[in-house]
Order: sequence, then structure tokens, then C-alpha cells
Amino acid sequence: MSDHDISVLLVEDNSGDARLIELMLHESAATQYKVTVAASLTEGKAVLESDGVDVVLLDLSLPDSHGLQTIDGMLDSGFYGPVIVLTGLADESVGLEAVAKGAQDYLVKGQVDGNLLDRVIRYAIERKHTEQSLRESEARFRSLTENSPAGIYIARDGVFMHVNPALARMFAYTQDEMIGKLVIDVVHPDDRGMVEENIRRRISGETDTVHYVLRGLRKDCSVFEAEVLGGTIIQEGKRTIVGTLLDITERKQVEEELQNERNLLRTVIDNIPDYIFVKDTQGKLILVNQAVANDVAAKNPDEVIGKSDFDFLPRELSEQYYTGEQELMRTGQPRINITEEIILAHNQTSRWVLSTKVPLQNNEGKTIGLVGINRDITEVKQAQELVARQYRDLKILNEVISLSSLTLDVMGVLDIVCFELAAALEARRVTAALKDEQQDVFRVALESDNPANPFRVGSLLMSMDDPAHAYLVSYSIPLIIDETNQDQYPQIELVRAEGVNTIMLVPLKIRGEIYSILCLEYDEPHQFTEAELNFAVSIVQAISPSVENSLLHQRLTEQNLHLNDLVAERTAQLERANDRLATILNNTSDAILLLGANNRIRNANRSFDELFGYDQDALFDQPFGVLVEEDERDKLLLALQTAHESQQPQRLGLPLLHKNGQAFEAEIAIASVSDNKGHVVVSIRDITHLKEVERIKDRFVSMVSHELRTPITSVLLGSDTLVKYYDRLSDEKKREKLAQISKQAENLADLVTAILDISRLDARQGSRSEELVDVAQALEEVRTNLSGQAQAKHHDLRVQVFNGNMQVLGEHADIVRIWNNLVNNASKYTDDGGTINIALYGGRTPSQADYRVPNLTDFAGNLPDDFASGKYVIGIVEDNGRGIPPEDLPELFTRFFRGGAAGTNIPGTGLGLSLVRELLQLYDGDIIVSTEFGVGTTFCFWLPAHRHKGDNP
Amino acid sequence: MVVEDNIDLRDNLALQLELIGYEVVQAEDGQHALDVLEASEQPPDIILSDIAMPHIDGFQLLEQLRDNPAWQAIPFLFLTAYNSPDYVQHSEELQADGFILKPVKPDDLIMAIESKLDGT
Repeated sequence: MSDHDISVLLVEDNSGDARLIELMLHESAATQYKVTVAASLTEGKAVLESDGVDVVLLDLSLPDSHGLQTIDGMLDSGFYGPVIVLTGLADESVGLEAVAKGAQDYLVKGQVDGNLLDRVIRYAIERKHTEQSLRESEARFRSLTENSPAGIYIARDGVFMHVNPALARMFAYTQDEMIGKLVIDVVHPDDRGMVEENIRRRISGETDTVHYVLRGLRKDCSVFEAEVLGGTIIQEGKRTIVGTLLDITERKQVEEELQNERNLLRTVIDNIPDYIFVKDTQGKLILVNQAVANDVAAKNPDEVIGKSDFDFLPRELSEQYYTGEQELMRTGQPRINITEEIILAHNQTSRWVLSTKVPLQNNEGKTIGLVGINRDITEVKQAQELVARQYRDLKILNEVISLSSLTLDVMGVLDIVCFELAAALEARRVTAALKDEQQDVFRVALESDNPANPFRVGSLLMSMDDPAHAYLVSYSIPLIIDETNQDQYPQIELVRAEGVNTIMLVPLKIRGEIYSILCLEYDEPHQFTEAELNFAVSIVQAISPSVENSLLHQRLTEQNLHLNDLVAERTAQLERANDRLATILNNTSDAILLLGANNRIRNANRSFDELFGYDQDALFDQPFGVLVEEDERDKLLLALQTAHESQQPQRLGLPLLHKNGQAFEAEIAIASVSDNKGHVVVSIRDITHLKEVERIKDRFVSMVSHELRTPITSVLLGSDTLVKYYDRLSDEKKREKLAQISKQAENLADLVTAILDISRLDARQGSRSEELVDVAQALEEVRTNLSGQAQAKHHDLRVQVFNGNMQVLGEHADIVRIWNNLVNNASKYTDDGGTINIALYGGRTPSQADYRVPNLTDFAGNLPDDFASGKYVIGIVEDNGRGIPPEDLPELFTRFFRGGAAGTNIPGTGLGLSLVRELLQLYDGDIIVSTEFGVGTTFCFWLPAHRHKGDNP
Repeated sequence: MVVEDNIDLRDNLALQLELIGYEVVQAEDGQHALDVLEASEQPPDIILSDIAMPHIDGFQLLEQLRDNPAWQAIPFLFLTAYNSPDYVQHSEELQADGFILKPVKPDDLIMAIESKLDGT
């Protein structure tokens, strides 16, 4: 009970009574009371709503309520605390009734004192509190049982006193239907005895709890399995049983399925041929199947449990496995299908397995061991090895056949076989013996072995009457000679090499006769397998066609030698004929092409390549048309077509294209080849030179026309006038006309001289005079001759001669002609009053001063490399005349070319400069020009200075 | 009119024709001839012209004359050193009245000129 004040509501209409009770409460020493007085039930209820009242003291006789109504009215208010009824002396029975209705206690007015009142109130509060707790506990229990999925029941005397909804649902009854029912009525008849016994044991006190499974019987008589946890309580002095019951039908089914699965798995594990085992983290076997047990010669799997690899396998192998498995469990990486060889310790047998090991983990992902599955693949492995061996044998066989078929040399074939047999059958050495026809014996002809183990090539192996030979002839299979049978073959023993223990002789037969014997030697006793014997036989059989072919070839070769000589002679003749034709084609100056179909180039001779600038065969299969400018192609195609159709040779002139894109004039002859393949032979001649000659001829004619016909016409007219009208002309006029005619005749004479000079030069055909000429002296002669003309035009003619070696090899007249033409030109093309500078340098190195007048630097870059070396005599003629237009420069030195001068009054032949250059070149010199149109022209020529004997080079 | 770039020939032509009684106008090339024609009040009765001349040659001169109504009827004789078929053909195309090849005998030349003048 708390120590705070107890709040009392006193409902009492009699204020005297109320006062009295109030006093008693205040007098109480043990407890502090706080009293509120209400004079009516309504007033009292109002107080309850607002105040924290701990206890109500209630007078039943109130103005607004009376008797037991009052207690009802008070309890309806929802007040949970204790209500103590106050009654009059005469109403004591009413007090009892009030308690039955829910009041906590009652007091009879007048019999109450302070102590009693205090105790009653405090007890009432205490009791009410306990009552409250009980009620709440009851409510909790009820809620639990009502909502529990487990069935809960209370039974006494074999009858259900209480069942919860879950239990009723299990048995398909309502709760009401079950209460009062005999317990054993809802139990399967077979289980009733057991249930009764269990009840009895508890009732008798033998035990307090039981735990068992029973089969329940539902209202519809269906059966289910239930697990019961039963207990005992004492209720109303009697032992009463309580219990919970769970429907375990589903759980049973699941457990059964699990068990079935486990059995199935076990059956599978125990019956499959694979070795299945589970190991713990320490490598101890915790599960193995029957196969493992059989393998280690254990009666059953249980005998193996708890053991490890170390109990069954060689130590080294076990350690290796242990390490591997520890690693596997550590990393969690499974090993799948690893091929391993396992050797069992107990019988030393070996087997090949395909091993798979997977880490085993518990629900938490922790590795707790490993599961291993080994599949025995020993037979597969053996089969594979067999196949591999057969494959290898076949490969060798194939190799031997293909190699031996490639050679036509008997020894070559045998060499291949010896080599392959030695390698395949691991013989120390293989030798091949050939029949010696003269002596009827087999001699070793070649061997294939270790070079460190030399053998006696050519030694006698066996004779034809040897028993070994007889054996080989009879059986055609290899003969094996070792310690067991060597006595039968005494000859063989003789020839066997030191240390050889076993030999195999394999006959190579051609058309029933032994041609060769192959001998395989072994140092150790050697057992041949059937496969090895078969292999040796098949190899030797395989090559016999090659050997036979080789022998035939050998004979044929010999027979054909003579024939070959004849063929070679004939071939040489043909080649010589071909060579002659090729020589003609390649040495003719005309380009010759062979065209195939579609006019594509099939062949071209050397002249073609040279003429067109292509590499040999560069144009193979190109159309002929590529050599012709596009707009000329039609002409060419027409000619080709005509040649085809008419079978008559065609000729035409066309510009053709050089590889560098430049066109040149060509004369083309096309002839169709009558070979039904449409071949055409085209011969091409470069006629550029001919055209050039024609052009020069035209120029000559034109020049002669103008330079000869016009002056002659003039002379004819002038002289005619003089003759006809002599009397009518003044003397002055006569003189003028005569002078004019004389001058024209002179010009004509010059012209004729120039033409004669150039004709003479041509007639000399490059032969030159070798007399010593002084260039300075030649200049002096020219100067004298020309000074008159220079004076006439008021030219300032300056001559500077820089002394040195003026001697050149040549002809005096030619050197004079050179000077004359150059100076004459300068004079002709320079207006009146102009200046003509002539300079001559003897054979010495020009000094810096020499460059000043006239200016040699104009020619820098165009002069010979050793120009300044003093090896040349150099002449320069410079004028400030009209100059030469740039377009005339390229042909300035061409014969009969006059360029822009042709249209002028200045007489000329177009021969002067060409003659100058041709003469200079004849004597190993040359000439270059520097000019500016309208400003002047400078010619610079040079000739090699003659070196006297003893001159410094 | 005598059109000729060779001064000696032109001079000799003019001299002989003048001595015969012609009035002679000289020109040293085609352009000069056109200038002289422009300047003179009366066109010449006949023109004797070289072909190969600087500036405007004989062909170009004839072409221009034939295009000009005032001059197109003047008889026109070529006196040339060039005997190529091309030249002859071209002069015919331009309807030259004669094609005289150098060298020509003076009598033949005078005859050719007079025959053309008689025809007009």
C-alpha cells in the first residue's frame, strides 16, 4: 500500500453521519485520509469523474437512490476502486447482498470505530488490487489460449473441461461440442490404451508431464497425427490434466520425404561405380560409398569412416593430396575433372581417375570439409594410349610412304625406312642389307644409328643358303634372333656387333624375291609386342612399291641416257634458231610488238622498251591504245581492224606517247599473223628525226626563197632598168644603182659562202684538222675586215685581248669563220652608234678583273665545271643591240632558224650561229648566250687551249 | 602601189615603173600600205605586194582591202619568194588577181601589171 494520502469519497446524505465518519478517518493515526463528501449518488458520481478517488464509502439510502439500486448505480459509474457499503443495523443482510453484487465490504453504522474503518478501507483497497491482478492474468491466459495455434485443453475425470479454438479446429468440432466429451472419444481406437495410461500416470501422481504422439480422430472420423505435451494441475483439489497438442501430419510427411531422399541418395552413392567420399577439414573420411570400400578392400563403407588417404595410399601421394585438399578448402575453389593417377598401397595397382573435389560448406558458409568424386578412366586411358600408338604408327607409315614415293633412289627409300624404324621401335640401330647379285649374299648397304656406335658397312650379313634366309623366304614375317634361338642361326651370330643381344630381321620382298633385309638391333633382351611386329611388317610392305619403282626408274634412266643426249642436241639446235630470231628482234632498231586478242600487248622487243622508255614487260597485257593520244586512237584501231580483216599489212603515221608523256612522230606498220589467234605484229619507227630533217629542209627552202629570190629579183630589175633606161638616168642614179647591185651581189655571195661552209662541214662528217691556230690572230684578221662595216654604222668596236696561251687545235679558216659570224651578227643587229665589245682570254685562269668587262658572271652556272681552270681559250662578243626575244633562244643555234629576225630587213641565212656552234663543238668547245631583248646580247665561246708538251697540266 | 619590205627591190620596182610612166606610191609593209591608202585622195589603179613582211603581211593586207568597199575592186598582184602550194591556195581564196613568183624577169612583171590594167 502506498504511503500517500488515501482519497475517500463519502456518499452520505445524513450530514451527522457524514461528519462522524469524517472525524473517525481523520483520527486514524496510521493513515492520512482526504475526504470528499457527496450528498447524493449523482453528486458522488460527479466527484468520481473528476477526482482521483481511491475508495468509496457508500450509504445505500440516498435521496436519489435507494437500497441495492445504489450499489448498482455506483458500480455502473466505471469506478474500479473498492466500494464499501454503509448500512444501518437493520440492513445487515443488504450489506451481504451488496458484497455479492460487487461491493468490497460493508460496514454497519454505529458499530464502526476509527480503527475498524481504517483497516476495512485499507484491506478493501488491497483486495481490490489483488482482484484486479487476477482478472488481468485471467484475461491474458484466455487471450493466449484463444489465439494459440496449438491446441490447449483441460480435462478432468477423462472429460474435456476446457478446449481452445485451435484444438476444436483440429478435431473439426466446435468448442462447445468438445467440452464435456470423453477424451478417448477423439483418439484413434488403437491409441486409446496408451492415452488412458498416460492420463493415469499423471492422475496417480506417477509423473507430472508426458510427451507422446497420438493419432487423433476428427468429428468426420478422419485421422491425424498429433504430438502431445501434457502436464498436471491441481484444480479444486483434484489432479486435473492440461495439455497442448500439435497437428504434426505435415511435419511427418516432410520428415518422411527427407528420409526417402536420404535413402535414395545413399542408394545412388552406394551403387554408382564412381568413388564418392566426404572428408572433414582434417582429411578424415566421414562418408564413403561402397565403391571406395571395395577399392580399399574394406567390407563396408563404415570400416573406412574415420580413416584418411594415409591409410590407403603411398605416403608421398597422400601428402600431395592432403596439401591440395587443404588448399582447396582454404580457397573454396573446386577442382573439376582433373586426370590423376592413383596408386593403391595395398595391392600396388595403379588406376587413372578423373577427379573432382568440391569444398563442402555448412549453412553459414563455413567450409567443413570436401566432397570428392573420382571416376575410373583407366580403361579409357588405355584405349586412348592404344589409339595414340596406332595413330603414331599410321603417321610414321604415312610419312614413310609419302617420303619414299617422293624419291626414285633405292638407297634414299631404304634410308628413310631405317631411320623411321629405329625411332619407332627404339632400336639401337637399323641396317639395310642388299642382295649382291654376283656373290649371292646380302651385304649391309646402309645403317641408321647413333653415330657414337659405329658399324661396319658392307660386312657380310647372310648368304642365300643361310637358315635365316630360308626362314624369311618361307614365312615372309620378321625373324627374331636372341639368346634362345641363336644357335639355329650360326651365321648371324658371326656378324652381330659387339654387345647386341636381340635382332629382328625383316624381309623386303619384291615379286616374291627378297630384295633387302632390314635388321633391327637391341643391346638388351627385347620382347616384341604383336603391334611392333605388325608395324615393322607393314612399314616394309609399304615401301616395296617405292623400291620397285626406284629400281625400274634406275633402269629406265640408264636406257634413256642416250635418248636424252639426242633430245639435248635437238633442243640446242632449236634454241639456237630461237636465239637467232630473238637476236634479230632485239637488235633491230624498229620497235616490234606482238599484240594478242583485244589488241593487248603480248610481247615487245628491246628497241620498243628503249623507244618508249618502259622497263621490260612493263606493258604486258596492256592495250596498245595506251601508247597513242586519245584523239588519235580511232585511227589506230581502224588500221588494226583493217589489218585483221584484209590480212594486208597497214601503214600509218601517228604521234605516239613516250612513257614520260611526250609524243613523238612514228611510222607504224601493222601486219596480222595468220595463226587464227588474232595476233598482230606491229613495227614502230621513230620518224622524229626524219620530220626534223624535213623541217630543216622547209626552212632552207624558205630561207633560200627569201634571201636569194628577193635580191636576185632586185638585181634583175636594177640591171634591167640600167640597160633599158641608161640614157634617161642621171649619172648619180646610175652609180647608186650599180653600187646597190654590187652590194646585193656581195650579200648573195656571202649567202652562197655560208651554204657552202655548212655543206662542207657536213661533208667532213666530224673529221677535223689538227693544226695549231692562234685565236688572237684570227680575231685580228676579222677585226680588220669588219672595221669598215663598223665604221659605216658608227659602231664603237672595242677589242680587249688578255694574253695567255692562245693556241687551239683546229683549222684557221674555221676559227676565223667563228669570229666573223659572231662579230658580223653583233654588227648586223646593233643600231648605228652602238657599242661592240670583244674580249679574248688566253688559256689562263681569268682574274677578278677579267670578269668586269665584259661580265662573265652572266654565264655563271652555264659554263663548264673547270671553266676557270685556265684550260680554255675564251672569247666574248657583246653588243648593246636589239637582243634576242626569249622565245627564239631554244632554237637559236639551229640551222636556218632566224626566229624574229626573219621578218626584218636584216639579211641573214639562219646559218651563222649554227655554223659557229657546230664548228666549236667539232673542236671540243661550245658557246652560250646571255641576252635581254631590246638591251643587248653577249655570246661567250670557249675552246680547249692547246697544251704543249712539258706544260703543267 | 608597191608594197615590199626589201628596200632595194622596192626602189628598183618603183624606178622602172616610173620610167615606164606610172605614178608609183611605195609602202614598206602592210600597215604602211593601209596608212598610205587612208591618206591618199584617189586609190591606186593596181597594187603589187610582197607576202612575207613585218607587222601586216600581204595576205592580211588583201583581206582588209577586200573587206573595204572603197578598195575591194583594186586589182591586187602578189610578188613573192614563196612558192608553196599553201600560199597559192590562200591567195586564190582571197581572190588575188595574180601570183607572181620571184625572181621574175622585168618584162614579164610589166606584162602582168599591164594585162590587169587593160582589163579594167
